[in-house]
Amino acid sequence: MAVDGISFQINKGECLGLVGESGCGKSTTAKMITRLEAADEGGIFLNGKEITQAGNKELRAIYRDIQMIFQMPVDSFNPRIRLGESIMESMINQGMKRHRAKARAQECLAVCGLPKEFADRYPHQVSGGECQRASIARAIANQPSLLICDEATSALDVTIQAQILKLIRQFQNEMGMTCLLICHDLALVQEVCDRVLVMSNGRIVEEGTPDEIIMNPREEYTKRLIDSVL
Amino acid sequence: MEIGLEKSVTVRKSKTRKDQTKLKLYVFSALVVVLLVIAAFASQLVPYDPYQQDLGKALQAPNSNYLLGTDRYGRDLLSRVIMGAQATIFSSLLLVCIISVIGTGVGLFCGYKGGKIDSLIMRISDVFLAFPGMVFAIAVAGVLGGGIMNAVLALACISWPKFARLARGQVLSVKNMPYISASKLSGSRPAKIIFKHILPNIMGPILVTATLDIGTMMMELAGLSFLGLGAMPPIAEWGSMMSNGRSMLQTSPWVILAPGGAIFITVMVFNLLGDTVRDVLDPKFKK
Repeated sequence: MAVDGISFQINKGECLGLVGESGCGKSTTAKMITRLEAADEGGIFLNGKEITQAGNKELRAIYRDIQMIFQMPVDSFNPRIRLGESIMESMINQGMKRHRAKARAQECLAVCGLPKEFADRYPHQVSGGECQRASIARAIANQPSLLICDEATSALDVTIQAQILKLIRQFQNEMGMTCLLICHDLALVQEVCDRVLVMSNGRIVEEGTPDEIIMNPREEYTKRLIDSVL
Repeated sequence: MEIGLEKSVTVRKSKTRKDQTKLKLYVFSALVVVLLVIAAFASQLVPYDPYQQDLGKALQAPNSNYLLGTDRYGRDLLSRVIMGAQATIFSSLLLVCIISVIGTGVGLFCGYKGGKIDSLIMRISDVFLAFPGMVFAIAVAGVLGGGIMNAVLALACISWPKFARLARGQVLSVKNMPYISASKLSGSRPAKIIFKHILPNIMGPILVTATLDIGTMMMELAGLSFLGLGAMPPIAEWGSMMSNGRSMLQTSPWVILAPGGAIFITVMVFNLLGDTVRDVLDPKFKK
């Protein structure tokens, strides 16, 4: 069992960090929130509404509010489709006209710091950082209320990491977006998050503000996690 | 100590290989197009009527009038080979189309859906794969009766599982890629995910197998015809023409060599095209 009896809530506009070693169930948690993976028991609530049993049609409506940024930027785009087309997909699925969706996609790319020519490129023609920016553009296109970043920066090098985080932070402030940041890098979490959950073996072992957790960890596991970083 | 020699380094460009593959693709595609054109315009291209019997000219060796000779009813073999291209090539293409479309459809469905229905259909395809294919095809063709369409149906019955397995395996590997999750998160319906995101990414191997299978299927169709279960006389078809000529192999070998050579050349051209398509679609080739 990857995740076992976890319970937490994210407040509106908050940036919640979820840290832990590989295989502790962080990504599974993200997949369960987005319903990409089914939970055996328990409930998931979005804005007070239960989405655990939502049917396909409801789910498509829910996905306007939840978006996710994936760990491998290049793999998160269909290699045979231009980036712009992938960004437009969610808007077209909601019935937006093609030319308006295209304009919006270019706008989103621009906000994420990419010139609009990138809409016509294929994923393998751009670098990892640029691809991750495009993936942020795709995620924010519908102005979701919850953005899940599943190790969004771990495949990138340090300077690009900082830029991407800054971008996410910026959108969070501007749009009042709620953010779930899944990460294994405590330093990044300390910089960005308002609150942190520490996960181990599918359970949440500790919760608190980043400073609290890093300065005075209560659990043995958290101490080891911090020691391993420093 | 000083070394005054400047070593010039030449980096071998991968371009040469790439160009060759492109060239090969063009050449073999052109050859296939030539074959298709011959098949399509067969009735205009034939020098003599392929069905006109003239016993006075029977079994003539290749000469300037009859380039490939005549068969035992005095029909011009060149005309019959050209006419036979129509039946043979188009029925093989039809067969490959049927099995690749049905097989890919089944594979996509099973791979995407998973679960019990997937297991059930895959066990059924195991049953088909466990049978010796040609024997089963002979049995089916025997039940359905002669005729080239029945031969196509019989071979379609036994050949689809190959494509279903291939497509299913490919779907399973693509299905868990992040871009499929991303598409789900974009609110795409399953049909859109399958046809826009999965199908284009698994087309490569299926296309290669289909191209390579044209040759195999052509041989199997000719085999069925040779056994008298495919095209019925007097229709010109390479397999049945070889069957007609087999008793005269010692005395007038050209009767069997003409359609045999045609099968040999056509199958080879299609196989070479298949190999080249595989090289072209190889991801390493793209870079």
